Amino acid sequence: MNKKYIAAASAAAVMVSMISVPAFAVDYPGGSQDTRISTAIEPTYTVTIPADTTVAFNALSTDFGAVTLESAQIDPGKAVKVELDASGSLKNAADADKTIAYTINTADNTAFTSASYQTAGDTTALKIDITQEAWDAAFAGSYSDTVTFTVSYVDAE
Amino acid sequence: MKRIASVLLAGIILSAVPVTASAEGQDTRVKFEVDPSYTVIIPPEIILDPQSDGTYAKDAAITASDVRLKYGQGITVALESDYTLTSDEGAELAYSVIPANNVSGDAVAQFKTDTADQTAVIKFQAGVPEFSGNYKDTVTFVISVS
Repeated sequence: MNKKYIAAASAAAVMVSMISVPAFAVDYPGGSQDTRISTAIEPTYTVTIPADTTVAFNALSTDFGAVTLESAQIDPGKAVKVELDASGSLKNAADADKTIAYTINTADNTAFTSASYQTAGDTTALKIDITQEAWDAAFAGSYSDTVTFTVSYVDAE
Repeated sequence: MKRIASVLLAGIILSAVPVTASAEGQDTRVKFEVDPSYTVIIPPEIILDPQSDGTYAKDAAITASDVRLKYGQGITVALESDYTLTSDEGAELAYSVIPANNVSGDAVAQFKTDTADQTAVIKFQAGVPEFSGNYKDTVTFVISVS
């Protein structure tokens, strides 16, 4: 299954000081001098979300890929949150009033609405579930819907 | 005849004045003092840059000028540090320092007597950080003559 990648808007910072600062001079007979070492690392992360998926007719459960934190370099105490916005109704292309109800669930049959991730590799497998009753009541035709995954950088819970 | 002779003899005697001269060698001490001197320039701040492999690093130049020391002496530059960068949130990132070429012992740089400027390049090298953030540390450059 194809994946979609969402990369954080910020890349790792390139902190090269463009400010001219005076150097420290140490003369005979010697001495010591403190120097500050620093670097600024901006948070970065990559999340993959499920790509377009086709549900077979009468399929009660269809693999819908996974939401995965592929890579992460984030501040301590922060997390990457992924939220799902889905209408729950596949709409007939010829008549939008004709629908088939569906739910997007995790592997343990819990409805997926959002999840937070902190470590690269954290993942949530998803599936599209449609009841037999919904299939039996469906009119002929092509049905589709669009779901939206929203990724944000938040305080860890 | 006798009177003329007497006058002439006196003139000759008067002209023979004795001069005192040294008959032995004499030592003279020649000396001068050259004060040792040098100036070593170290950077006040070193900001690590991201590398292509995800690590962070930076080269730092240390310059010595007008170095004039006693024969056999040299300037040694050493570092005092815990070699750990710490972020504002407390995350830690270890780093190391690669000394300049041709140094011995614990020195990161060494210089010899030379009126021309001498530059030693040392490298600060950190690993791939687990967490983002603003990291900082303070190192102390210790300059001595040995």
